[in-house]
Amino acid sequence: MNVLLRTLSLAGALCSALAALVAIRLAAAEAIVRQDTVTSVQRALTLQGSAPAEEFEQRLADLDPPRARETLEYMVREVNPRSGAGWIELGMLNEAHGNPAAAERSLLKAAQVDHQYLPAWTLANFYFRQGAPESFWSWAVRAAFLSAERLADSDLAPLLQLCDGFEPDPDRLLAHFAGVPRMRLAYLSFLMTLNRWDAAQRVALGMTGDRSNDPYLINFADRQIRAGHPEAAVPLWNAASGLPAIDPTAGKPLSNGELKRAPTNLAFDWRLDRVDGIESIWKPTELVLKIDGSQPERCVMLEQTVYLTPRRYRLRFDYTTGVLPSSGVHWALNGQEGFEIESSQELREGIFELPRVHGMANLQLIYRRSPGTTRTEEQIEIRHLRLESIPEVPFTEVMR
Amino acid sequence: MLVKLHTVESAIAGLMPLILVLGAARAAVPVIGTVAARGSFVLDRATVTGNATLFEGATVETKAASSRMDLASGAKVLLAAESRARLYSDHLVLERGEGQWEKAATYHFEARGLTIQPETGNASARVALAGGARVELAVFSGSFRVLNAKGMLVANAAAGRSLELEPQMPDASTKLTGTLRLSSGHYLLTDETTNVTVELTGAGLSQDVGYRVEVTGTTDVAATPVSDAAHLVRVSSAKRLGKSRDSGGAAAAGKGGAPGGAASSGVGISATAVAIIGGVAAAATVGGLAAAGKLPGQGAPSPTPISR
Repeated sequence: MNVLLRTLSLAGALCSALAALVAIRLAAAEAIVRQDTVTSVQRALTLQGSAPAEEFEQRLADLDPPRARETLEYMVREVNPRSGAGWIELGMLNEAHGNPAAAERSLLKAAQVDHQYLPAWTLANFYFRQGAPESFWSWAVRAAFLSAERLADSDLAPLLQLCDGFEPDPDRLLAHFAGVPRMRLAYLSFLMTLNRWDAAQRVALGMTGDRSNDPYLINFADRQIRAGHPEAAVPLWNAASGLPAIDPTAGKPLSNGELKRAPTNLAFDWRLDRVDGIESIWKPTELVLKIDGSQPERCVMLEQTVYLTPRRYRLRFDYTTGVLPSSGVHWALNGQEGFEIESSQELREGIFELPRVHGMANLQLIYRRSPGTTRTEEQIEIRHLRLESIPEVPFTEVMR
Repeated sequence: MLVKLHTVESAIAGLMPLILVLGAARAAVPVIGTVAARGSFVLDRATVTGNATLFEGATVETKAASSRMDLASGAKVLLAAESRARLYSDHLVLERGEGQWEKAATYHFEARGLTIQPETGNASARVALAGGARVELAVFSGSFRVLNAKGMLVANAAAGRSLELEPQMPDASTKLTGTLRLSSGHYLLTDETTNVTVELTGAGLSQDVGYRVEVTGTTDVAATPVSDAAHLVRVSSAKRLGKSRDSGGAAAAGKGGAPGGAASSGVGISATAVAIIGGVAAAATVGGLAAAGKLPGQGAPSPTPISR
């Protein structure tokens, strides 16, 4: 028993002595490192033994920059080999030092210890810079896959820029990401920001049929129209609007003429811009415009972009107005006004013969105060709008 | 962070151009380098974490952490937190906050219409956009030239020098301070603040040779000055500041490039001698960037680790 007690006491004393020794060494290291020289920091590191302090390594790297890579390598290999960030750092450093093989090993090690997005993204960048497409695509796809919970679609743009550098063809690019559906939408946004309309159109057309894509396709159609490409917007609009298809080439360019859906202000739909003194109320199949007399002298109350092929058109619509003899309300095409709509408290049909305009045009319902009148207080109800092409009468028929 | 990144990367030699050539050859827009941060940053309006490849014309916007750019030119640029810059293969346009060169090489900064270009490959400096239209420059090593929007030299800054610069109206009069000297029949003055040497013409200058003077006039951009001078200034008034020839240390300070004389007494642009040249007002600062030590590389005993 005594022997056991003595042994335990001795062991305890040894442990205490060892702990004291370690403490002394650490204190000495702390003291020596304050000399702030390469030698002193190296000596401090030696005194630290198997548990070197990171700040000592950092200071050594500060004082001895050429050793920075060596120091980092030591840290990630010996101190914290599970540090993906450390391996990435070492990889980038090796790459910058012109040692791509070592860089690749470090970055692959990062991906081995860290299965998250960052190593995959870094490797995709690395292989891009190295001009290694096969490896690039592998890691780019993995990065895209791992980005699902991490990045917004718009934040995939840098990855897509790399992809685009290797493969500018949209179909072939997207073929790499067949298992990552969100890439198509992100790619569409990416191409739109670059104003690469043709490529974006191809991508967008590939998104039709999936109703969840409709808002994006409508938005893209709107962008196409504003970019002056109404013909490209037509198939997108027809696929995504949920409204009866328009067919400008067949002389049917008006959308939502039956007013079955509230105007969205997008693409080929009706636009109802906010105007002081005018209240717009949509009801299924009908639009009510209340004019309270405080509206501007001239303003656009309702508008739609139409794509007109070379032919004559006539707008027909049903409407009612208030009791005033002069409504001040006109239809116009690109600002060219037709006759004032006659006042009618009974539902009646109105007609507006469109001026000859080809291509994209704005069909507008405007209010303009007529000379000699005050600004109208009025209510106009409009429904059942049809924009029809008028058969051309041959010149010989006219003469006859 | 295992090792201070700025020291890690300061060890990187000029091999980046070779590394980036392949990528550049494949991308429609040339690759100009890499950017890395401890945390996230914004690259061309997309939030990026960790690192990314930089393309020509890319905009980098930092958040809470600074970002570091290794450029194909061999330059290393640090963009401080809450800053924004547009990067090109040969220059950076600082749009907000602060930027710092570590190895400037031939890479130059543009800030508020000023061009700040290194004269030596290993030059390092910091540039910050301050309040109003001011640009702060603190040189840590090497030397830099500052040009106005028309490419006219408005300041030379050597290591240890800090300047605040503020573009004025284009037709602002020139105002310089230094010791007037006569060289081969030409009157020369090296401004104490900007360290720019100009040739002076005007009546009565001969009386002030050897004296420290403050001169006001207009810079004749069409005239060709003597070879030692950057510009020719037509003097409208000259005020003698010293009582004797070569009085005080100001003249020496002007030649040496270190802040001195009137310029050294203050800590901000309002307390120092203000020079105006090329439509740019300049003041030496002592309590400004160089003394702040907010970014590493200034020789502080324990530099703040770069966060990235």
